[in-house]
Amino acid sequence: MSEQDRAFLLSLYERMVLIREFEETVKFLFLEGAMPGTIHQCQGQEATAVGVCAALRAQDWITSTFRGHGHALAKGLTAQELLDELFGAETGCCKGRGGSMHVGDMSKGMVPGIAIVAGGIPLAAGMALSFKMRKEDKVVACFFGDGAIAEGAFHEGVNMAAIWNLPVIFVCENNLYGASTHVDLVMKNARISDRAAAYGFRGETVDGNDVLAVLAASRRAVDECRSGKGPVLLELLTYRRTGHSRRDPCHYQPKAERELWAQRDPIDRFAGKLELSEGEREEIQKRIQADLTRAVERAKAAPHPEAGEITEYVFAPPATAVAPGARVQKHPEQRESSAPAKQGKRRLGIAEALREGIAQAMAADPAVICIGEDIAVRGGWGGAFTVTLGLEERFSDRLINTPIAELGFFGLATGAAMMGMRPIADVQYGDFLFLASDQIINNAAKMRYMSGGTASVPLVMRAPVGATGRGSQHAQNMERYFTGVPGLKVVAPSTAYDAKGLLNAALRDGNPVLMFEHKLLYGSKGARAEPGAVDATSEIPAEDYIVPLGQAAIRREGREVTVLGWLLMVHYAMQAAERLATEEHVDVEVIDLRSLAPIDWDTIGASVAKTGRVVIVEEGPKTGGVGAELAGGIAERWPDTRIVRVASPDVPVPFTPVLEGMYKPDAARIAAAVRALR
Amino acid sequence: MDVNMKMPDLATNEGVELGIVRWLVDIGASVKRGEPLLEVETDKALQEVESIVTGVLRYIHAPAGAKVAVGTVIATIRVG
Repeated sequence: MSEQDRAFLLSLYERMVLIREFEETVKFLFLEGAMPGTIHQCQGQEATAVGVCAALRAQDWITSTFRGHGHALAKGLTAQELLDELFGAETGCCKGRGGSMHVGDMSKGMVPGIAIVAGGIPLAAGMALSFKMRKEDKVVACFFGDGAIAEGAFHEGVNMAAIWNLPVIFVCENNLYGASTHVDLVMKNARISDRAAAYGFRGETVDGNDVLAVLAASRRAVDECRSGKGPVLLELLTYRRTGHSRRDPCHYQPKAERELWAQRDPIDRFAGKLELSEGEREEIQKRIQADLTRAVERAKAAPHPEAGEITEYVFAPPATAVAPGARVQKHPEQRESSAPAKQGKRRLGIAEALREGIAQAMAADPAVICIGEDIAVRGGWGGAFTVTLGLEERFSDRLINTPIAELGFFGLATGAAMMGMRPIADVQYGDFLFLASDQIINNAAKMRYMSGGTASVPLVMRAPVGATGRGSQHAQNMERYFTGVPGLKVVAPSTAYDAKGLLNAALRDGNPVLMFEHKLLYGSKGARAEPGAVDATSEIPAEDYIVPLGQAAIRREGREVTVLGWLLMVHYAMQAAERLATEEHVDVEVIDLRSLAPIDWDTIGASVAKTGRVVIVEEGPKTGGVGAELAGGIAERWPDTRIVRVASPDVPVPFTPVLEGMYKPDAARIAAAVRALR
Repeated sequence: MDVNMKMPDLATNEGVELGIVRWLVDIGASVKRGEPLLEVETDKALQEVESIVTGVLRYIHAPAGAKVAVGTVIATIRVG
């Protein structure tokens, strides 16, 4: 063995000792009551983190779990930035916003730990997708436990990595227990690595307590991934010598099993291989302990965030929001013009306007990609409502046509966005967002905050909503479920002009933006035309423009009653207002909210100051709807305002036309509510 | 240097006092960090509590049978 080799091997040994001593130090800080929160520790699993990360380059990435201290130290995060984070200090790797379960450092190739079991798997696949699309020589090592293999996210993420040969090393640390449940109780296969064959790629089971075996297997896997033959699944057999979490005394681990694994301790075994004397081992341990003791003292004294800084890091700043030359419209399209199209403008429907906006964005920025189901099939539909129709010819390598796997591909989109892509992810029907919601809410929306403002998720999401003769599961108005999710912006255009302008604003915003689109407003043609469709076409300028997020539009000015709506309900409100004006001389102001998060309280406030009365119209059940938030917000701010809500009854969307008609608010019901307020 | 060891927060319910079942190390005997020092009864089960430092056990502040709140000093260990 050369000097150099020995120095390298000793560095692996020391890294494992650092992890062990770090975990022991933290454990006793918790037992003393000196540290807040909870911890999930990895004593006994040091060889997996160190062996895998030693096969990576600095520019490669890892994703981790709630048990991430070892991964972090192996990837090059310092004990100091981790201890500071665990103490909740501003100087921590996530500025104290993440904590033990979310340690990471974007400057060192580790995204904040994903504490939802298997949640990091689609994310890692998306990161790898971005590397592959940009032809970068990077790989992702995605750590997860044996518990993760029973999750749907495992199946969806692994399958997509497989079909696109993505450079991901899926690292399953099989420590025999998912929390307290033995892996044999949740899996019929003998080996986790056998599952790779089910997806058509290579899996391997490795002695995870032998750091050199882990390193060798990881190097093979990394080589395969770099040469386009990824992914690879590594099952690393190891054992957690501590509780699942802070207070777990591990009574479910049989004594004989614990003793057997103690004999296979990765640090003791490697010390034997290196023929380290007791004295040498003690010297290394003492040196590391002394460093950690100093780091603990510094961490205890480290500054904490000010309580008033609680709202920092929810969103990336809008610094890069507007591209040069983009025209900002304050109140565009307040009244639809029936005049013939002026020069440079064409009358387009929402589907066409979105298609044009997406095409222009893709032409201008190679980082813009589309990802979704049925969006890029030649001879297909261009998504469920024709929005991407034809784009597959022009941008074939940037339209990612996915399996039916909403949780998976929203996770991929989030991971790709975190690596600097600008994905546009869409579902065929908004109802399917429930499947994707873990990735949207727990990862995309929270990542900026959990990372202390160091990660960005410039992700645009699109979802069709609205009751349109499809029964209960292709019909819900999903706005209520995503409005009020911190870290997420929500828009809902009612016209083609706004659809393209909001899309452009969303693409430039640098944060996750979810756009709801109404099926009856798309103007989809041919086989995808909708019965009962409403004309939402606009004159669309040829040049680039945006409609700013967070700004409502006054569609009709009036003095007596304000009507608030969005999507289809704006059109019905306009019909009601016109009828009331001509037949009953009632002067109604109609506000199209356009943005549901954030809500434009200024525009609403100016209107209710004038009218003192407001009708809030929502397609969807009244209880717990966005309308409830609007009513509450208005009542708090302007308590003298009289408020009435027009919404659907608290039932699932019915199929039969007579009941669906009863479900959806219409112009007559809106007019009745206005009359009742006068 | 004497290190005071406190009752760790092992209970799953807030505010529950923990019962000391028995001490596993005699006064004057050596103990290593991580070695079981005493046995405690939580609201869930019996659980061993490990010494937080390596040293000699000098004082036991709460005998077997006592119920103590989390954060109470239960032992003094002389280090080095």
